[in-house]
Amino acid sequence: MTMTDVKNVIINIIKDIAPDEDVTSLDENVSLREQIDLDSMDFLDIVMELRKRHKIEVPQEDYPKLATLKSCVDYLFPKFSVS
Amino acid sequence: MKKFDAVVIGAGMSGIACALRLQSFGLNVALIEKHRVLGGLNSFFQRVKKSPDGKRQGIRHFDVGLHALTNFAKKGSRKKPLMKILRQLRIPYDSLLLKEQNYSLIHLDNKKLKFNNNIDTFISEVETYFPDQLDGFKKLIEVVESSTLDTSDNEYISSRKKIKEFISDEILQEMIFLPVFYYGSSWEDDIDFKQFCIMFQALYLEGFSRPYGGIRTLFNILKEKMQALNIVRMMGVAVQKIEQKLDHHILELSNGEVISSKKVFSSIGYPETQRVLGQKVNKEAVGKLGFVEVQIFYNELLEKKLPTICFYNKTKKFIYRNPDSLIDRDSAIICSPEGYDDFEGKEGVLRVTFLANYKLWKELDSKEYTEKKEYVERVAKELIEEIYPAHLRTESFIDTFTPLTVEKYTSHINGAIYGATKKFLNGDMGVKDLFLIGTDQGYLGITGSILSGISMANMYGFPTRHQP
Repeated sequence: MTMTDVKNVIINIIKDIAPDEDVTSLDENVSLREQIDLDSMDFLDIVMELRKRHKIEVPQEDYPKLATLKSCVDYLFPKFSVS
Repeated sequence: MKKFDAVVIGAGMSGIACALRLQSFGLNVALIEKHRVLGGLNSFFQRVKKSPDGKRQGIRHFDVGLHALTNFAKKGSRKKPLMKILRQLRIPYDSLLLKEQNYSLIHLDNKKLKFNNNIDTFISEVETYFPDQLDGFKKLIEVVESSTLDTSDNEYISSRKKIKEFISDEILQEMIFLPVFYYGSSWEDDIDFKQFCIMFQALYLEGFSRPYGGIRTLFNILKEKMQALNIVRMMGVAVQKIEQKLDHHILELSNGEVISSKKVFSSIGYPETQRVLGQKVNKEAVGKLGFVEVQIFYNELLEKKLPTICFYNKTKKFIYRNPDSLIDRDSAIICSPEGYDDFEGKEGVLRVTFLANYKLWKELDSKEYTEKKEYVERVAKELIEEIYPAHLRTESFIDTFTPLTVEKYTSHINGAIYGATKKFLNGDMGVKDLFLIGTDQGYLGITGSILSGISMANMYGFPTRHQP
């Protein structure tokens, strides 16, 4: 899986959990919390979907690493390469 | 024995939302509902509509509970409870088909204050009728806006006392409390200040809307979600006993089945949950406030200018307590489903709600019960004529629920709509792996009850480690 694939995985998850948001114009360096109002409950959903769809575990202490699209990709890419 | 990761008791708003979240975490969930229909406190039913000569003329739809969906938010708005619940349940905003209220009215003695979904309307009404209270009112708004809900804090703060820091005029105090108490206080004549802030935000800062088609629209969406997620639904089944074991609960059901579950989320209320746990019921916490509601249908639509909701109190002093008589005639909520943008009905409808004494209703025999319902219907009609005098209206149908109806459909002791006087904001009533959701967890209104189910599921149901 390439970096772009990983990014698309995340975008697809966000699209599902926030059906009213336009995900095509997300700035990958700006926090998701700010851009599309994701709160801690929504981050739970991202974690949950990663687990369900890709068997990837994100421990609670690593949640801050999901802050931006870019940090998500940086953090998750190695996990995807292992699986 | 069937085994579940989580059992949710009660398929009202909070229970459905809770079950949806838990199931989406990958847990094996059962949703158990005593009745055959979903909804609990917020439900709906229908009756065949007949012409005077008995011919079938179609179906008349009733909403029970929902006067208005509180916490209105415009599409795309941020950090609003409504947006949070829609996102958490993955409901697209547009599918709710929300229609905003036109305006609502607080009518106390001879004073009237309008409000709508823009707080500036309320502010300017205060400026006009209570100019010396304007600064305090604005400060109160700031305090509500900046209040954050600490779920570990269960300390009770009297709003009657607290409001004096902002509002010195007693009439205005009463007027602010009128909708707040009616739409969510389980305490007599007061409300906890944290709950007050939740309600103030829900009613005045965010306001009312209604899904086109009423509560059914929301239920149909939730039903589809439950079907899609394959949630085990047990309808017409009551939980009779819960027995705590070391790492699970054993539940005895009214159909004779016995099931086991690691976690239990109960929406049936605090004393009611104590009852099935075999604990001594905390009598002091049992809510005392019952309601009667009369729904009157008219042959034609009513005037468009009627308020969406009118909160009415005849005298200067608003008394919000269990009345000494069957109903309190001096105070009421009058709801007009037509007071929304783009109303879909063909008949006019008004719903009149009074505080009612459960015990007195309970003592009646069936003949008296019917007579007293008719008496309440007359009182409701008189009240409408008094406060909405206008052109002739001809009634086509009338239906009334009492605290006994509420008791039957919600299982709340005393038919107390807003549940117990003790709330558990963190859901924890001291029983391991059992959590309160809904009314007695303490988030109020329809949006609040959904949020309650969601947040308790997130807090206690989210699997922290990978379970193979």
